[in-house]
Amino acid sequence: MELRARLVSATGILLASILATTATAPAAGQTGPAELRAETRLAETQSDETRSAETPSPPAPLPPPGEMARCKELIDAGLNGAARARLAPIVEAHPGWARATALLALTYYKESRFEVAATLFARALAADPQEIAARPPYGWSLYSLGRLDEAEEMFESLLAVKPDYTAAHYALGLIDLDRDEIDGARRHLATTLELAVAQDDPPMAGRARARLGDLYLRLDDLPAARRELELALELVPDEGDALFTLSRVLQRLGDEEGAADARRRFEAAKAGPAPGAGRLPG
Amino acid sequence: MRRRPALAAAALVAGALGPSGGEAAIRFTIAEKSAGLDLVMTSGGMPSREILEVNGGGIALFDYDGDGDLDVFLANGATLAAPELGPGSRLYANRGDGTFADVTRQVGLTLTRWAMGAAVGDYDGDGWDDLYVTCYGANALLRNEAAAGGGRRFVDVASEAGVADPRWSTSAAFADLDGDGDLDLYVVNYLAFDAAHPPERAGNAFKGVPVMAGPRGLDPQPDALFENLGGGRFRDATTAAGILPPGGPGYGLGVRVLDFDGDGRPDVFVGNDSTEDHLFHNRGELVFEESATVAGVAANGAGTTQATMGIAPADVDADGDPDLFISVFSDDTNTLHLNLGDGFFDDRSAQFGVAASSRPHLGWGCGFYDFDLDGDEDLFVAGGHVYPEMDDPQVGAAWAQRPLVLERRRGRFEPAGCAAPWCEERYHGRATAFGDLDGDRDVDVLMTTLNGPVLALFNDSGPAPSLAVGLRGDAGNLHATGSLVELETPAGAQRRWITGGGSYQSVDATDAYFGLGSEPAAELTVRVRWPDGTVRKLDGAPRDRLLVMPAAPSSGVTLRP
Repeated sequence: MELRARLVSATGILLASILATTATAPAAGQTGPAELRAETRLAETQSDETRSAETPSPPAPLPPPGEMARCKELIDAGLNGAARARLAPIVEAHPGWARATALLALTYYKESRFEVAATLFARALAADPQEIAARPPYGWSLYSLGRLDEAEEMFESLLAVKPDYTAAHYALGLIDLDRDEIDGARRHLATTLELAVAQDDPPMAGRARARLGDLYLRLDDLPAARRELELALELVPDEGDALFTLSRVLQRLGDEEGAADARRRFEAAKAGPAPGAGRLPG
Repeated sequence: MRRRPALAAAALVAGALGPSGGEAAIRFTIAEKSAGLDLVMTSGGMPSREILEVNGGGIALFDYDGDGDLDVFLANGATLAAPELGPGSRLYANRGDGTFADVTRQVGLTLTRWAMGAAVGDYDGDGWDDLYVTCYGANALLRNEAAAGGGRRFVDVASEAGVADPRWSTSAAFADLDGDGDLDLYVVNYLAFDAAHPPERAGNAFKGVPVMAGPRGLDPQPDALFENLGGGRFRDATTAAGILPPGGPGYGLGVRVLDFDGDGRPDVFVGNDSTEDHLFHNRGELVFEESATVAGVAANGAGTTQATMGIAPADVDADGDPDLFISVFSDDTNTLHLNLGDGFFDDRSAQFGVAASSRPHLGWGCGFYDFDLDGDEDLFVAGGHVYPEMDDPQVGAAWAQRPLVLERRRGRFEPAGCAAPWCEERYHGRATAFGDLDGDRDVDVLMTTLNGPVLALFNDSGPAPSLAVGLRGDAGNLHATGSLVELETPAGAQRRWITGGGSYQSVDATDAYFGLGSEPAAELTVRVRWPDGTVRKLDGAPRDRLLVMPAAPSSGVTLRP
C-alpha cells in the first residue's frame, strides 16, 4: 500500500497504474497472449455500434511476434533499460499480460530493485499462476527483501510443481540458515547436493557444499566444515566465500599456512573477472 | 515514567503490538516537541546531493553540570555554501524530568562549523566532563570550566591542546589507551572532500540509477591517535602507535574502544564505510597491531567488505566476552561478529536473527540495551538511506526508513512489532544515543534525523525491576572507561562494558543498565572489573536504584532513587 501511494504521488504513472491493477488482479486464463489475441479477433468481428457501446476504446495493438523473445535477449545481454523501454508500453496497454509483466519485473530484479520487481512478479503471477518462470526471481526478490515467510512459500510452491528444482531446495536451505533452523537447512542442502550431482551441476553442488560448510562452522564442527568447504572448492575452485570461510576455519584449526593460502586464493578470486559461482544462483 | 509527569501528558501515543497481536514488551513513547530538544538539525540541503550532506549530526549524553541527570549535546551541521557558518551545535540541560532547556548561549557554546559527532571525557582530570567535537574542518575540544557568574561554560582549547585535526572527522573516543590513568583520544577520519569543488557525479550508480559521488573514488583519510601528556596537552602518536594500517586508511565512520581479547588492555575497533573495518589490538606501551583480518572482523563471513556505519558491543551469547554488531548499508545484512574467545570472531548474523530483517535497511546508530527489562538485551538500529534516488518509483526503495527494533526472544533477535504511529513513520535516521533521560532506570533513545528533528523516544516498557550502575573512576578517568560491570544472579551473569566512543558519531550514557524481569526477587551481586584490573564486588545489591560505585575501595557506594 505504501509503495503504491508513493508511486501515485510521484511521476511514475505507468508503475502506479500497474500497481493499482495489482489490487484487482484479473482471473487466471483471461490475460495471456493467446487470450489477448482471441479477444482482439472477437473485437474485430463486432459492429461499430456494439464496439462503441461495450468497449469505449479499441484494444491496444499487440506487439509484433517475437517481441517477448527480443526483450528477453536484451535482458540477458544486461540491457535492462532498453528492455524496459520496450516492455513498459506493452504492459501499460495490456496490464494483465503475465509474460510481459514478468519480463518487466525481471529488468528491475536484474538491477537489484527488489521492491518494484516483487510487486510486478506478484502481479504477473496473479494474472497467470502458470507463469512459472516468474517464481524463482520472485522468490529471490522476497528473500533479498528479508521477507522470508513469503519467499519460503514461493519456493515451496515451485517444488510442488517441480520437486527436483534444485535452486528451490537451495533457497529453502538458505532460508532455514537465516532462521537458524539447522535440521531443515541440512536437509534442504543435502537434497540440493544430491540433485545437483545427479543433474551434473557443479556450481550448484559447490554452493550446497559451501553452505554445509557454513552450517558446520556454526555448529563449531571445524573438521566437518573444512571437509565440506574443500569439497566445494574441488567443484568450484575459485568460489570466493568458500575460500574465505576455509581460511577462517584453517586458522582456527591452527593451520596457518593453509589459511594464508586460502586467503591468497580468496583475494585472487575477488580480483578476478568471475569470482566463483556466487552465493545466490542466477 | 515516575519523574516525567509533564511529558507523559504531552506524549503523542504509547502502545505497541507484538507479533501475535498481543501487547509488545518494548514500548516507547515519542515525546511531543522532542521534549524540548527543539533543534531542527542541519546537514546541507534536501534532497542531499553530495556525500558531505548525508552523514547527519551526532549526539552526546553526559552530565555537563554535575546535577545527576543526562544533558544532551547535538553536533549540528551547516551547508555546502557556508560549511564554517551553520546554525551551530547546541547544548540542552535536563530539567530533571526528561525535558530539556537550550543552554547553548548560557554556556558560551559558539561552534558554528559543520559538526559531525562528539566524544565525552574528562581529559584534564578536573572532575568535569569535556567535549571533543568532530567536524568537517578543525575539530573542537570544548573544556568544561566554571563560569564567572556560576554554572559552567565551554571553551574551545583544541589548538592549544594539539588536537585540532583539520580533516573531515566523524567519530572519536576518549579512553586510557596506554594505561597511565588519563584519557587519550582516538579520532576517526572519513575522506578528503572540497565543499567548494565537489566531485563529479558521473559514473556513480546504485540500483541502476545515477547517484552522488563517493565514498569509493575519493581519498580516505587516516585516523589519528592523540596521547594525553597531562597538563591539558596531547601529542600526535598516530604513526608511533601503528594506527596507519598496512592496507591503507579506510573511510572511517565509527569507533569503539574496549578490551575485546580479555588481556586487560583496551583495543580499538574502527568501522569503515566501503572499506575493511579495522581492529587495533593493543600490545601495550601505546603500540597497536591491526588485526581485523586475522580476527575475522574486517569483513563479513563471506569475505565481503561492508559499509559499516554503527558499532554496538554486547555479550550476545553470554560467554563473558564482548561480541560485536555492526550496522551496514542496504542490500547487505547487518553483521554480528561472535567473539569466540580465542582471538577469533565468527559471523553469526543469521544464527542470531539480525541478518534478514536488515536487507533493505541502511543502518546507522545502534545499541544493545534491555529495553523491556526482561533480563536480556534488545537491539535498536536507526535507519535511513543516503540516496534520495531510492524514492524514484523506478527504484521502489525508500530514502526514509523505519528504525529496526529487535527484541530478544528465545535467543534470537526478532522484530519487536509496533503499532504506534511513531513507528509507522519513516525517518532519515542517523545517530542514536541511549540512556535514562527521565530517571526511571530504563533506557530511552535519542535519534537524530537528516535535516529534521531529534526524536526522543521514552521507554515505557515497564514498570519492571531494574538496576543501574554508575562508576566513578579515579581522577583522569571520571567514568572508569574500560571497566566491565557484571550483574550476577542465580540464573547467570549480565555484562556491560563501559566503552570509549559510541555507535556512530555519538556517545551513550556511561551508566550500566540492567533489567531484572526474570529475577525480580533474586539475590544480586554487582562485580566491577576496573580499568587497572582490580575487581570489586558488592553482594546484596538493591534493585530499583542507581548504584554509584567509586573506584577507591575506601569510598562507600551511593544509592540514588
